[in-house]
Amino acid sequence: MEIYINNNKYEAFDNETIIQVTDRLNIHIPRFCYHKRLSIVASCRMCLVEIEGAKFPQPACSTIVRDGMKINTTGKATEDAQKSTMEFLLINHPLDCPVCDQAGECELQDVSLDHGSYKSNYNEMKRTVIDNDIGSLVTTEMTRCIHCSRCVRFGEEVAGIKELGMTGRGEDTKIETFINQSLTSELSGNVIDLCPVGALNNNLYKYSARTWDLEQKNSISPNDCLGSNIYYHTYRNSIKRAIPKENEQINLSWLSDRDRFCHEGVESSERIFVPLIKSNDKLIESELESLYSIASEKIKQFSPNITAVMSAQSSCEEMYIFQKILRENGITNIDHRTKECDFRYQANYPIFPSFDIKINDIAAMDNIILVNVNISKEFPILSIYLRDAIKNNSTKIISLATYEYSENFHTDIHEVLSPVELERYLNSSSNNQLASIKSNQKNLIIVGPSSSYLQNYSEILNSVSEFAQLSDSKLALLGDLSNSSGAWAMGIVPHRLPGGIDYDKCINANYESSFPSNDIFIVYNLEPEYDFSNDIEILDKLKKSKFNIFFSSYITDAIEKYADIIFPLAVQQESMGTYINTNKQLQKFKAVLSPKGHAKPGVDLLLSISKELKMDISNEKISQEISDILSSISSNDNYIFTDNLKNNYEKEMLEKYIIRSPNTNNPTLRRCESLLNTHDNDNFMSLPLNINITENTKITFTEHSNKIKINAKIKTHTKPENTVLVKLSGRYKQTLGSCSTVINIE
Amino acid sequence: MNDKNNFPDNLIEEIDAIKSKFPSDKSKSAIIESLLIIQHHNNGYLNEDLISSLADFLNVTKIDVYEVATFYSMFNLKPVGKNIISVCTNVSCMLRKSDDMVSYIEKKLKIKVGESTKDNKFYLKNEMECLAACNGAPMMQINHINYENLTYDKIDKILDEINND
Amino acid sequence: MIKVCTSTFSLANPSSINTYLEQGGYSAWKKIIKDKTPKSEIIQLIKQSGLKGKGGAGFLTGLKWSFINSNEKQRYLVCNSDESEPGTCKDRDILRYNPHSVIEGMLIACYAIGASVGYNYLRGEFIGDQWVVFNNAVKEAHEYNLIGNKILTSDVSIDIIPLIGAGAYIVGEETAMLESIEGKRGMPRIKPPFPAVQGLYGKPTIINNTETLATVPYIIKNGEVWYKNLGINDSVGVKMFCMSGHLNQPDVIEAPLGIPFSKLLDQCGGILDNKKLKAVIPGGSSVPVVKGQDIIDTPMDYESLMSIGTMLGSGGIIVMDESTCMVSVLERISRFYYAESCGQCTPCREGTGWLYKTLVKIKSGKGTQSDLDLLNRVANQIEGHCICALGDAAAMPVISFLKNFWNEFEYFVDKKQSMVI
Ligand SMILES: Cc1cc2nc3c(=O)[nH]c(=O)nc-3n(C[C@H](O)[C@H](O)[C@H](O)COP(=O)(O)O)c2cc1C
Ligand code: SF4
Ligand code: FES
Repeated sequence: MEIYINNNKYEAFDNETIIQVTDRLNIHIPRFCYHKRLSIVASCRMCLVEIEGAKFPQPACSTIVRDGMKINTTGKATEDAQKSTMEFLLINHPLDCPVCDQAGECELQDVSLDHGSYKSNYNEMKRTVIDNDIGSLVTTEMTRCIHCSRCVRFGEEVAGIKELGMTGRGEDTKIETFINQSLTSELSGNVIDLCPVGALNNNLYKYSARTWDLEQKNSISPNDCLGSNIYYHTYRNSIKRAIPKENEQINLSWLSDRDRFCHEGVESSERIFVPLIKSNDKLIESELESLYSIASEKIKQFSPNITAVMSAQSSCEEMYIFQKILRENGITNIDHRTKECDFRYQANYPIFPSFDIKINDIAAMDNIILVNVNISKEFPILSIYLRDAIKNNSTKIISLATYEYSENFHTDIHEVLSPVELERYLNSSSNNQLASIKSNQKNLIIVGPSSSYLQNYSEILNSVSEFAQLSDSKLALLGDLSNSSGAWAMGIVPHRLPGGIDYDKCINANYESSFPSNDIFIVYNLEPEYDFSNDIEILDKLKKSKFNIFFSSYITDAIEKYADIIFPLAVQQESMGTYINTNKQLQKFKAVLSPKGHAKPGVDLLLSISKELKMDISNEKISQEISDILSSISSNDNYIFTDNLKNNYEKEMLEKYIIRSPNTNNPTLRRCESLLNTHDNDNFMSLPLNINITENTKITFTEHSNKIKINAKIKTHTKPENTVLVKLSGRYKQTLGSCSTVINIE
Repeated sequence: MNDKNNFPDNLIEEIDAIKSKFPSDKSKSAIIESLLIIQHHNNGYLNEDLISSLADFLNVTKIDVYEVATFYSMFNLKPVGKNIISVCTNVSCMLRKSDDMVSYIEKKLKIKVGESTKDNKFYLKNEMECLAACNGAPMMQINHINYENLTYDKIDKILDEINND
Repeated sequence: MIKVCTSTFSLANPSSINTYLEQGGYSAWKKIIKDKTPKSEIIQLIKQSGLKGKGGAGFLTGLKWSFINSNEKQRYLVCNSDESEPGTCKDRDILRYNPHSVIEGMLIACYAIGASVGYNYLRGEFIGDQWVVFNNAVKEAHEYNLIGNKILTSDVSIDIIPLIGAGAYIVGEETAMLESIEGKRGMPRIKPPFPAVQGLYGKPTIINNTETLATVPYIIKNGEVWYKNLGINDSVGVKMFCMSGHLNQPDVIEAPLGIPFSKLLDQCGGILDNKKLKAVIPGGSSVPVVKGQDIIDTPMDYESLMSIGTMLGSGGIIVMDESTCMVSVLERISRFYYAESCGQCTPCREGTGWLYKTLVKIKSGKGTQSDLDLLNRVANQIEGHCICALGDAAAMPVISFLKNFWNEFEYFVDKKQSMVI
């Protein structure tokens, strides 16, 4: 249809609102309550515009265009209306711009300059609002609130948990949480961006800089395999805050709290800023040059008896160089799956484990089966897509969990099953709730990364694949770190070269399988206490090892104790590189900070070692090789069948497994105190009801001849049966034993 | 009654009856009437525990209930006297000298509007609404029973009667 | 005297179903059930009767019913018994003296628009009296199988369900009422979509005032021509006028539309203490005030009141004698709209407070001439700029008081005291 804006003719579509048209055409209309991803309330009345034939100006955000409509966005009636709204908004707004974090990017400030008036006729007392504590991430200055209700709508409509609400009435209307409650949503930080004024603020950023001094640098979030796009705002080589960078295929306009607040860990006092070497059982400062030569000596000396493990948070470049250095020097035991304990599936694993469908296509699914994944906690951004699917397509969601957790979207079926039960449940799909899933529907099975930590991962994969085949479902495999799929594609597994080419020269099938005591260890950005499937075992191996080379950004007790040399690894924010996300999108990031102290980006460290080893790896060629490798990967069959699995479970066996919090999944995150305080502060050991305990029962159990005692709040659960669940948060100081194993309780 | 998540049976029955007025997936609709009943059983006011319990019982968020509890003027979030007096002071009543009636009651009960008497027998609500009895102005409601065409004598009689109850 | 909604008022046991039945009550409903009258016929009849909504806006009831979106199966009727507009006290009498007319009207409306449920939302303050009476009436109607499943053994099933509010004037606004029924804060919705398309729980819903619905059975029973001719001259039908303020006998009077104001005044025994008439607010406190001399001979109908710059509104007629201080009255009115603003939209949330605080200032003798201009300006900045009509309701009194009684306001800011003392 045709409409006229300021006497110019434009094309508009059916059902478009005026503001959608003008935004598309870059014609400015001020607004506060309107946000393109939230429902329309038209309550701020800032966007009032004159429409020919209407007695009063109408809100552009809610008025739908009509053929021939004549809109005037600049005329007197429009200007008067906008001016008066502005005047109303300012009468009760404090004049504290000089101390307000929002100053400089305040929508109220901007609009007031354009549409306000320079003097105020209001002589009454201004409203003040007392602030309540709503948690360690978002702070409030509610006197500044202009009641646009974006934050409330965000909770209801996007985050899926209504935590902020509007209370009181009239002039006393307030935005607050229920009495004394903190925000718990993993998306809570988005309200900071949504708030057009300085009422909801970023606690990390509070009073730390002025917005106009900040430099904006874009990057890719290092915390999950979605690779949310992010802007870091820096000042004097320090990240002051993070905000989302819009990406319609990934994070839309949002960020998870993990992504937004993870930069706190960059400033941790546990950072390693200098090269270190062990001397008389003490780590002392050394020179990078000498470490390069020691490392290359050791590689030559011990090859092939070297176990090299690398975090899947590393960039493709780091991965590619890492494996190349090692493989070309005869070392085959390379792995990133340090949290796993069952590797039987590996030969049949996809070359590039992926989400299989585009994230945007989630909305088209009829059924989505979540296998052992707490989407709202582990993949907050994905939860937004699931909620949309439910809303727009009435998608049915089935959650098969291995412990009790809640989601911020409606699940039609929620089963809590032990790992063995999970396997069996999938196998007998015709006799249970899964029977309703028909192969002529669009089905998606999402397998969470926690499944890979289980000792029957291979069996679970078999069952999942079998069910997927039966129901003609897509199978989405989510990795636990930012470059998990990249790690597979780049050959950070013993049995495959970059591009997934089978590597038959590999000696060990996985990093765990054998470790003679004359071996040495290379540990890249992994912390022995937290990043391995069995802390007892890895510490034992590090102890027995002849030499331990660490690449690490942080020091831990175990690293201090067992490292022989430590390369001071720059954190992701200080490095450049690429991640491949679960949708096979190759995303480049640049360094947003220069490395602190003598820390160096991994690529630099590795290249220097390669030079020392007289290898010729050129930085320039690598990126070309990486994209060649990626494009060579074509088949994307995620079904994984492993033959001849021997299931040696007995029904009565008691199993233990560790619940790993996604908010501690990498070393930097582990050091974000405000995140840990808000979202991840539960420590517990939960026992099945059939084990009799009294209040003072001290629980000790044995597994693989280790005796383990865990000090934590003891809880009980009804489901899953025959399982002991352990969850410790933050940087706990306890030995937990194997991540997934059979135990005996004493 | 302050027991978390644990309403007495008769109250549960009443709330269930309220729920049954609405489609089965619209339990939120039951918030307002349920709060009135809960408040009635809790000496005329609501508190944090009661709001939480109702939220759990109706399977809605606590803030949902709190939003409502702070919006409607008949909900009290602080303890109030047993008998709630609302004198209408809106236009029609004002024209018939309702302000004098309020002052009279204030003096008589030795409280100001918005306060409760020391013995907690009366609460003089700061009523903003017109109580829809304009042809009986001036008027007041005590515990939602109307008393119209007020005079000082009438007020004495009514309050004394309640006081002696 | 004409009696429609008030038919039962002076009888013994007015609220009992037997009283109502003896008056021929429920005959319209029974006939519809028996004859299986087509829905469209009922809507047509109501249209032709010229019945206008009695809640304030005066919208043609039959026309409103015809807007119901019949593509959706689930539809609702809501009866608006929130009666809170200052000066209005008619629905309370209907609810307690003639509740069955409301029930019958709701049943007929439900039938006509294809709703299986009709909610009657009573304001919270009615909980002590009207709520009890109305609930009891519903129970009686159930016992007579006039409500509920398979009414009078037909295949028609309609539920009439009483609901209670908890104190909020704004809930009288129809979309705020829907929000309130959904268990939320009573915050008006933006229109479009109109409730007849997307109302309660997103389903098509018709909202009518208590008096409107109570009138419906009488029209069905006596015919559209009967109702039409109840009015005087060109006016259609009757209206309940709530006469309050400085009157010898304040009362609720059901009278033909078009009745001259002077006649209503006479029926209330004239002005209190034989003082002189100064001003009248003829439709609830939100409509413009007019000078006594301008209204005294005016016929009380929609058009005539419009011609003297005011509105019939809800029929809440507030009469003020010569001793009235207009500054005080306006201050009180604006206190009300300030206290009752729902708070969602800016001009109303912020503007009503500004108006009220400025009036308090003027009344306490601290006002200036420029405050009067400010009042006018702020009121004009609110009017027409809000989501719902509460903003207008707050603005119109200010604009009209200043216009009609400017000298009195000027006097007050000059002399720091009221002109009438
Ligand atoms: C602020 C405000 C308050 C209102 N209060 C009432 C009320 O108390 N009772 C009522 O019937 N209508 C009230 N209305 C009018 C309703 O919105 C609606 O127009 C009416 O109930 C429709 O019924 P009718 O067509 O039968 O008049 C109010 C409107 C506004 C804007
Ligand atoms: S005009 Fe007032 S009452 Fe109406 S929606 Fe706006 S703030 Fe609420
Ligand atoms: S942006 Fe349109 S009313 Fe707020």
